[in-house]
Amino acid sequence: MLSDDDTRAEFARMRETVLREVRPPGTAAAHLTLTRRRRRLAAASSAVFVVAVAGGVAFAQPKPGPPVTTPLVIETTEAGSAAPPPDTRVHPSLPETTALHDVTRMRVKAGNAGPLRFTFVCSGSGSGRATVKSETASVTVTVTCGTPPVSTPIELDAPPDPAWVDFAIDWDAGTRLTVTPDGWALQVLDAEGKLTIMQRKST
Amino acid sequence: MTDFDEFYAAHYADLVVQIYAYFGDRQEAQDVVQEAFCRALANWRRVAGYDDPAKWVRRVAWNLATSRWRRARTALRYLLRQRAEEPVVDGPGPERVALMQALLALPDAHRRAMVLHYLADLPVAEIAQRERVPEGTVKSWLHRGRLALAAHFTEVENDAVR
Repeated sequence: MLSDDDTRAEFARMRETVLREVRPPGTAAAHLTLTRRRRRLAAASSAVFVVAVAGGVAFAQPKPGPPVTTPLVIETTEAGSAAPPPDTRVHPSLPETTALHDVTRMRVKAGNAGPLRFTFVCSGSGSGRATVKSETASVTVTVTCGTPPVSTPIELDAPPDPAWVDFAIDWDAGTRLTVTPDGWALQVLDAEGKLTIMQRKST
Repeated sequence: MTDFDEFYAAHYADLVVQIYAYFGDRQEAQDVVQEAFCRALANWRRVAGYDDPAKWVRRVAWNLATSRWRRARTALRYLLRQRAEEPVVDGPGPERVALMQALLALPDAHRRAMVLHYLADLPVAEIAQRERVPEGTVKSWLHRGRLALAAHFTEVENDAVR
């Protein structure tokens, strides 16, 4: 049997000969590898961001065909101001405070089959009854507005395929939206993005 | 020269020898050790704070080498991209071939113990802790490893005499 010292000596010889053959790629190569990986990671993150934004846009696209009959209705507190255009996501003239009456309607495309989860986020005061309908289900919840903005989650059974979902919010009298410092007053969020229903156009 | 540069210069080659002795592929050993150093560099502020950063790198390299089959394709691409030309070296001498053959014939645990003890200079207690076995078991592995090496060398010598 080899003694401990003999074994150590064998390994030492082996180490010496192998060391002669080892060519370290060097720390510059390690730095380069890291830089490449970080760039790749940054590119992948950008791609995810683009997908998320695209999801939000798809979410907001109205279905071609018959128009939504009662679009967003806003009555401004400023006397004489023009009525906002229907189904407009950006309101250049949206004042700090907007009184709402009647029904706010939207039609959005649900990106995926499966349980649909949305969250209304409302800045202001008051409340309204939001009804969300797909081809197979209908759910009504009370949307509350507050300062800071209040979130109201809503869950809807899945339509069989990606499908259109109709929202209708029947506002209580006296409900007012208040524009947040970020320039929006009402949003609908889903897992893929957000649809800003009322937003002041940035200049 | 940064701390990392010094650390790299001090440990790269030795770690390659250890991984090579265990896995039997020098090229792959170099590759996994380089990868382990890349990971150390990415977390250098944390790794540099450890008592023994080399231990961390060895562990990472060892884990990488353990899953070498899964990573073989990536490693090949990496090598093709990183190395413009491989230096030409003489083939290994007969002693090293004999030692490597003997090592590779050992059961994994025995081989790990031999490499960690005789190349990485880890004490028996540390190997036992790492392998989660009693110290006596490690001593037994080392004993059997030495026996196997001796038997192998005797066989090689006898072949040479014939």
